[in-house]
Amino acid sequence: MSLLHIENLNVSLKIQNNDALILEQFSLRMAENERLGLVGESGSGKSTLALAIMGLLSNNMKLTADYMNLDGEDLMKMSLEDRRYYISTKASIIFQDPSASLNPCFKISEQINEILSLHEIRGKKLMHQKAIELLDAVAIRHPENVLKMFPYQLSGGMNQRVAIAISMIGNPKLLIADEPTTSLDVTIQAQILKLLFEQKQTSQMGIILITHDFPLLAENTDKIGVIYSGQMMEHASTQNILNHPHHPYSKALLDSIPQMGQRHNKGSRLYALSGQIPSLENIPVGCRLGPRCNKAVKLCVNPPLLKSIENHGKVRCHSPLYEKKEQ
Amino acid sequence: MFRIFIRQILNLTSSLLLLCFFTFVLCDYFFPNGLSFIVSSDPLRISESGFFSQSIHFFSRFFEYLNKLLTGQLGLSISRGNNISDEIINYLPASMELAIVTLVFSLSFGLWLGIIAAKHKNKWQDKLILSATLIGYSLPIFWWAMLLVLFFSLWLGVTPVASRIGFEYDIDVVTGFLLIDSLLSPRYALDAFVSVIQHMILPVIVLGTIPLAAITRVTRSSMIKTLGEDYINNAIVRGISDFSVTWKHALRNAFSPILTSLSLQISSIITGAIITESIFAWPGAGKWLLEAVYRRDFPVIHGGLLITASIVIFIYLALDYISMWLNPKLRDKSNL
Repeated sequence: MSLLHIENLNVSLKIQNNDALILEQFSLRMAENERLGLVGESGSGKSTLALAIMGLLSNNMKLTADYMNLDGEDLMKMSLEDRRYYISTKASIIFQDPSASLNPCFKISEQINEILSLHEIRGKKLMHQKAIELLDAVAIRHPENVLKMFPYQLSGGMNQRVAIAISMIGNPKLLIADEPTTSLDVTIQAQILKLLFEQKQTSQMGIILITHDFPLLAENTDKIGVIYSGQMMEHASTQNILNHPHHPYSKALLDSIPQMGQRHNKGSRLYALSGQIPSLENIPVGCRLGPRCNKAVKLCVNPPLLKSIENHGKVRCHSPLYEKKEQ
Repeated sequence: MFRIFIRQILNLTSSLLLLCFFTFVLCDYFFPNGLSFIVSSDPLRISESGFFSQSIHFFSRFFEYLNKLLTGQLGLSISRGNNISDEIINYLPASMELAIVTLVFSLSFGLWLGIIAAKHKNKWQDKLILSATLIGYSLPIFWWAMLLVLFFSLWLGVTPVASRIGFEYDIDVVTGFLLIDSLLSPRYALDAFVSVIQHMILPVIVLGTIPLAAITRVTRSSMIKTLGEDYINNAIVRGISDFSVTWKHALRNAFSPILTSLSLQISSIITGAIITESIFAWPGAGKWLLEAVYRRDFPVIHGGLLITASIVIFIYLALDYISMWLNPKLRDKSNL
């Protein structure tokens, strides 16, 4: 059984009486205990997807979907309140900015205790003990002191550890990490990621890691979804995408990673996909990548569908890159 | 915390000193013999022999003045001959009662309406509240008071037109706050209390309209900003109830701008009280001051100015402490 199964998700935003689609015909299937990476440019709708799954879209956005199964229950059939309650028992999210993800007005202990009491852990002593266990698990050195502090007294990395610790309360089945390391130092990044996947090992949950850092996905994920302009462009296993990117966009993303050391060609310029991601008001006809794609042909004025390719995964392209070789 | 406390005390004394200096210079400059009212106990003799003749040095006069103020001597009223400190004690509680109830009224409704507007951003509820507050903010309050009196008192006949309590009740003064005193005197059971509340409704609405509108608008914009923060999303995702997210997690973070606007509205309440009290014949300090102006009762104006300004200074100090209590970040900032 799959942990998360989204079929035909559309999220639209009203801009001057026109519905602009932030996410269009988005489908995603994720197995239990899977590590899924979502990658794409800024503005491609990665974070909106995370918010849509968690039921956090602001009320000027409209969400429709055939179904959105989370651990066996269809979220679309629930009322907003039921949905939020169900999600709070099944899923958790970590945001990009650690200093904004904890409430600045309350002590760490108050924030942890509040969530603990929602998960039926009550009693002062028990809560304190559990809170220290949680902070210990995310490698915080003096948990007693940290509990007494306010978020602004802690560093970004420490805040993110606390945020991870809080999101582990209640053993969620799904953890969405929305660029959890983007605003941290590189050394702290590695620690936080290591921590995140340690947590995954001990509590057996699925992780969706949203990022635009391909090398990070290469080491840490089982599958990768490439998102562009609100559509899933390619969805395949990490190995397949890294070795044989079928979609021109995946290839462009991989090519634009700087090569270091021996593989670096002296004097060569870093590859960059020309153009910019289309704004919501001016989405191109047909394939959304069309105007920027160097492999575009006449056929690309018709919108391509996400179709399966044998031994690879799903690709939304009329002329995938490696198709001919495999036939 | 201790350092902040010391700093606050120094701040307080220096602003009070400046205030006294300002009033002193004002009086001393415009009325060369004016300050004699504080010293000579007989107001009729002011012109004959000013205690503060110009021959004494400026600063000696100032310290003499300070000395009198510190011992609570504000002189005698010219028009009535009463001791001004006694008059203040007589009239101030009525005004404070009105101001406090108005503050509670405008703050509670302002927060409530502002939060409704923020939660329904750009929907009809929001638009309705926004346009209502715009009208409320720009209403001239004397005209608004007339309309309310016309409608509620003359046409519907549900509220009295003037004074603090029905003339049939005789309440012993204990605290000066009739809301409390009427409950303390067992003679009339709840009737007196109900009468006090009835008398209070219109003045509170009139005085509270502008602060209510201002607080609603600030609450709305501040809450919209706070409700979009990650920690609010986190709180929702982790299953904290909607009520708790709004009133505990979001409101506490959104409160600093509201507090700032509140501190500005407090001066508007004090000035508004002068108009409101004369319209509704509310026997408070505002009406007392206005009458003093009509009668050129200079010592009363001086005392009133001094006392209202010091009250404002103390209120601002209290607001400082409230904002420190609400926002832990301010507590150990040394440069407060």
